[in-house]
Amino acid sequence: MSTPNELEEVTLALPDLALGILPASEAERLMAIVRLNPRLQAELASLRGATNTLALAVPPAPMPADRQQAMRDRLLARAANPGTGASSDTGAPRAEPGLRLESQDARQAPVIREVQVPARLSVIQRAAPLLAIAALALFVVSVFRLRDTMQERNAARVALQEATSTTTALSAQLAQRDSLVAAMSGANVRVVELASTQNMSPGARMFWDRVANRWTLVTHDLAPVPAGRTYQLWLLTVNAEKISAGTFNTDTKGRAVVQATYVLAEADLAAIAITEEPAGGSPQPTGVILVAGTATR
Amino acid sequence: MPEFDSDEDPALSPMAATAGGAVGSEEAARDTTIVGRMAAGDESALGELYDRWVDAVIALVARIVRDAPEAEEVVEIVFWQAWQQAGRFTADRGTVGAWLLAMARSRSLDRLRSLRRRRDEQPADESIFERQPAAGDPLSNLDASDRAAQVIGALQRLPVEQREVLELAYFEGLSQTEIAERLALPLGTVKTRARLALRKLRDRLDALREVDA
Repeated sequence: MSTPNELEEVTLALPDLALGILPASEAERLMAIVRLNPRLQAELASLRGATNTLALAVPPAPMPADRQQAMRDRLLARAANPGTGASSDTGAPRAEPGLRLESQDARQAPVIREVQVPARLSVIQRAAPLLAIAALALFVVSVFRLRDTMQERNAARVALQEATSTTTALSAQLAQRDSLVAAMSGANVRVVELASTQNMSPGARMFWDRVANRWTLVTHDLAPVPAGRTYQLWLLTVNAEKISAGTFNTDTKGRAVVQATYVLAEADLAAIAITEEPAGGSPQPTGVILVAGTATR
Repeated sequence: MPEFDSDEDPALSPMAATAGGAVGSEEAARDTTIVGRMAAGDESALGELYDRWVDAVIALVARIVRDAPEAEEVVEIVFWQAWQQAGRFTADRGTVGAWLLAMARSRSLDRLRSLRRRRDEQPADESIFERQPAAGDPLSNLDASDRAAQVIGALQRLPVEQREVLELAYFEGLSQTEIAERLALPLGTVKTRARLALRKLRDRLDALREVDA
């Protein structure tokens, strides 16, 4: 039976358990109490669920299609024949049982000597060295031809893989640009112009897709911030709430394209602003507003 | 520090049932069927699971490991582990997606720690929410599912300092003591931030689920 103090301590520490940030001994001590209390178990499960959703907050990291397919093939090959281990990607052909038997049969060729050959075959026997040389020559020529064919086939395969990779990369770029165009156009997109509050020329334009809740900010002539600093984008609401929409820096030409997804009612947006903040951003704006725009309708 | 791995943890939340690429109860049931076939030795089922989840697994592993060749190795290990342990999966402990992503995180953190020991270098501390304009293509990595958008939106509403603690715990696998050292903060401050952050995240996602429902 746990004391009220213990229950309070464990309740407070449930997020630590869910995140897995406690030392092992401490976690085990607390888990011993949790296991005896269904309410704590349910709360811990709920917090672990929230922890697991962090896996979704990562940007996609596409692997080239050919490597993705190769990995799939390796996995299925291993699953079908687990004894072969992971070495199937070495290129060494895997021996098939049928082929192995055929090879064994070939190795048993000396059994031919058991056939009683009549004396009239002695002519063939005398010609045997010449036939063997001819067969060897034919074999060598065949090997060279086979090697050339395999080299050509490998070259073609490499060229095909390169072409596939290029196509995949271009398709991905095209899809991203389509996504950008969609985020900056369309009936649901509202545009907010941001102008400099300083005696400089930087500016920006925010495209707000109110259906997809997608915000796309495009800046121009906004000088890059030095190391240790960052630009921070703010959504200012009519209730004077300042919501951080992310941090970014610009390239050497002062350009940046920043996208964020955030749900905000249209009537709640009062203005959009950019400030310069310490690297990592600030909970609330601390720097001077460099560029801002009001959300007039 | 104990690592959360699905096969060590009997208490996965139903919230995790909506995680990842295969969303919804029908899709979750299909995943469960696929894993059942894997347990029975049907290797084609492994191919199906791979096709449905490889993008989500790659994204998570790449975020944690931050090294493409190493990440690819880890992804293969994760799916091979799923094949070998399919018989241990039980749907009442959580969804296939939660099980698979928990394995992916666990194996990724193993590899990350191994790489750190090998390289003896500090990990990058770039925020996953920081969108730096990349040379040539500033719009990389912006697509997200609706569910992912909800999670990112909920995270973005957290104060930066709370979000930072969550990231270090989940993606870097640091203990609260290590986080305190990294951020040069008192341990109590780290505890407070972690607790507030996770409870707020959970509450906001719960609220969004209720709206969706």
